[in-house]
Amino acid sequence: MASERPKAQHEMFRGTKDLATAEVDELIGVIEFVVTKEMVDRSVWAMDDYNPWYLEASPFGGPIVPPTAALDFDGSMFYDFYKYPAGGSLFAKQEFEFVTPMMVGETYTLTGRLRDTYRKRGRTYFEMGVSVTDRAGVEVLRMVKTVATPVKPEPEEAITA
Amino acid sequence: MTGTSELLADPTEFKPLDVVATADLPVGFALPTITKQITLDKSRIYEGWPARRSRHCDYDAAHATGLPAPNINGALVAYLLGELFIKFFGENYLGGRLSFNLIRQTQVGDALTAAGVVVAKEGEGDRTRLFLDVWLENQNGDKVLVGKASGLAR
Repeated sequence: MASERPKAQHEMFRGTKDLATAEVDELIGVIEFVVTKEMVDRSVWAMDDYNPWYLEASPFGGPIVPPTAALDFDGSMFYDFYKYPAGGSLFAKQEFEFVTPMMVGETYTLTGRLRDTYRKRGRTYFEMGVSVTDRAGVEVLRMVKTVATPVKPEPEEAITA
Repeated sequence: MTGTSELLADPTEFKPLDVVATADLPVGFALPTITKQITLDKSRIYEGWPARRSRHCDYDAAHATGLPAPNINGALVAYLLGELFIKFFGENYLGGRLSFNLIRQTQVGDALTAAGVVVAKEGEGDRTRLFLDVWLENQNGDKVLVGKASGLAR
């Protein structure tokens, strides 16, 4: 008896809006979440980075979140809004601006908006700006995540005189 | 007892960098590097396998996206750069910036090295901001990520 193939992560995204209709400055999503110790531990264990600032205490009080760990927190935001493209998607670029520490156990809100979209070398790029705020509404982290599609670049349009 | 077995160091103990961001570091200074191998087990820990079956940790999911085998999540790859960044700037990672482009896929079993060099220094009030070129390269010397970082000297 053939067993059912488990769903791949990209098959579980919930986005429905076609990327071809994406509009700059539109709201992509808002996620409120608690940074759990388990979230941070997985990153720490995966990279053997047993920094006591993440596991015990930091100069900012309790344990903090590793600087790039927020990449995991907005992992599905983009494709829970936009329909995952048939040609697949690449994580192309990222920017961080660190304002105040993200603390383990605290609640944060991520708000994502489309900042820009452009074509380059056979792919379309989508820049999502993400603001991370704490419960008081204070911004703790600014990010820009750029994804590109398709995975295999399309032939460049013919150059005409 | 006459045993002479060697007592091994814990390979997971925290290792700070030998050199941290100070105002006297010259332009051209190369940061100490950090090298780590990303195995399938490591990727599965990060992804939360088997509850989460992504193309980065599960062969069926990888095949479903046309990959012959899982490749490593860019977020996990970038983590290594973040480790270098915060070890170098310490508490001054706050007020700092980090940006990068992922330019090559990382495969299961690749050993990545995080590296950086001071490319500029600027006064900021009575402090000094250091600007870095940063990158990750694999065991073949191929860059998989290139970027920029900045932060105030300690």
